Amino acid sequence: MKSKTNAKRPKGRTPGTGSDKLFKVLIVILAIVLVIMLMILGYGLRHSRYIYTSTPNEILMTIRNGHYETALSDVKYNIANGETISENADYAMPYALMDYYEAESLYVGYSKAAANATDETEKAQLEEKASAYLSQMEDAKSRAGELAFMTEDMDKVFN
Amino acid sequence: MKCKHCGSNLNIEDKFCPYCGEPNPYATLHQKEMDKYKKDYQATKRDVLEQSSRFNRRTVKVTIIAIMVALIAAVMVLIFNVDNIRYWKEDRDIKAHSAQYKAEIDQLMDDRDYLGVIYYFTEKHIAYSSSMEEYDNVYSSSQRYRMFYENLMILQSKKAFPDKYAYYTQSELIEGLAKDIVGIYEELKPNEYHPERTEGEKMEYMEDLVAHMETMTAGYFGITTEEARAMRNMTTSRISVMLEDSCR
Repeated sequence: MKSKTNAKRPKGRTPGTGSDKLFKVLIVILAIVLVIMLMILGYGLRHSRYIYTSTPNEILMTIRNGHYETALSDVKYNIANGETISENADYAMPYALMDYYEAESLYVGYSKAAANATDETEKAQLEEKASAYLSQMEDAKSRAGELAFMTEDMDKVFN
Repeated sequence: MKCKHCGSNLNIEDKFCPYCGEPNPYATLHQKEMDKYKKDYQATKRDVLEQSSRFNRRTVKVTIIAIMVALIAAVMVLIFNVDNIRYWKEDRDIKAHSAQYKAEIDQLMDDRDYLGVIYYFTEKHIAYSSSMEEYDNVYSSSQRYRMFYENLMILQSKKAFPDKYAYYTQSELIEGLAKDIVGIYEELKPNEYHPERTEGEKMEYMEDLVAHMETMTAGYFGITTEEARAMRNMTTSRISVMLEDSCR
């Protein structure tokens, strides 16, 4: 029987070496791709919820720029996220300013509606609510402390 | 076989005749041939082992590659579905805390903090959870109110400072307000499939929300509260026209 090993082999070439190297390279590339994709998946699952909060300075800057609706939104998001004054006393004045703004917006609406009301009972009810909002405004202004002057610009929006 | 010299019986492996002692030439030839066959056998065996080993190594590598490709495909499917997985995870978390969330929302509703309600829903990401479905109408009406309030305040700011919010026109804001107003009214319609969403304290909250919205509209647009209440039976366009006219 003639052995296959008796046949002459081309010099300098061992069969299967080229494809073996290719396999190894392919396995390494696939491993890298798999690790990257697992990292992407892990990041996607871990950072699932975007929590929107603003610092006291950010809220004050927004108020200073006259974007009161945005500042109010920021305050509401903060409170919903547990960023209360008891957690951080620096929020006291910016929150007070936005309480003033919100109360003033409601006071203006109710007082003008009361002025236009034709039914006396309804008029009295609307005036009572307007008065309550006015009290909230005064309370908020006193809580705003040294920043109370910023309420003057808010007043210009409604007058 | 027979001995060449004495004719007695020999085995082919016998190098010498056991009877006459003469050398057996066939034994040498036989031994040579046996050695050659053995060498060929060993070489062939080595070849076969080497090739089957190569085959095994290759099979293992192909299997590894196939498994890795399958894993990559599976991870890719998970990545494309990461939102669904997140929602499932969040829904499970919400279910675990639903009693707390409901208590806090109920408190905000009792306080008639209309903006507080919607921001709570939004920030806790609980609006679309299956365990909060009974608050669907409360959420939707509060969401509409938030948009109404923001549009109203932007409109008021524009009146006070015309250069502010120049990218909004008055008509666009009023049209937005009208849509929000109609949207709020829609949420009060009884839900025959889920009556719990528009009953009891939830309905009281929404009715107060509507009354509040109508009062704010009356105040800011200079119309009477009766005219504001008449919006309940108006279309979006009719409300837009009424509010535009009141601004002139």
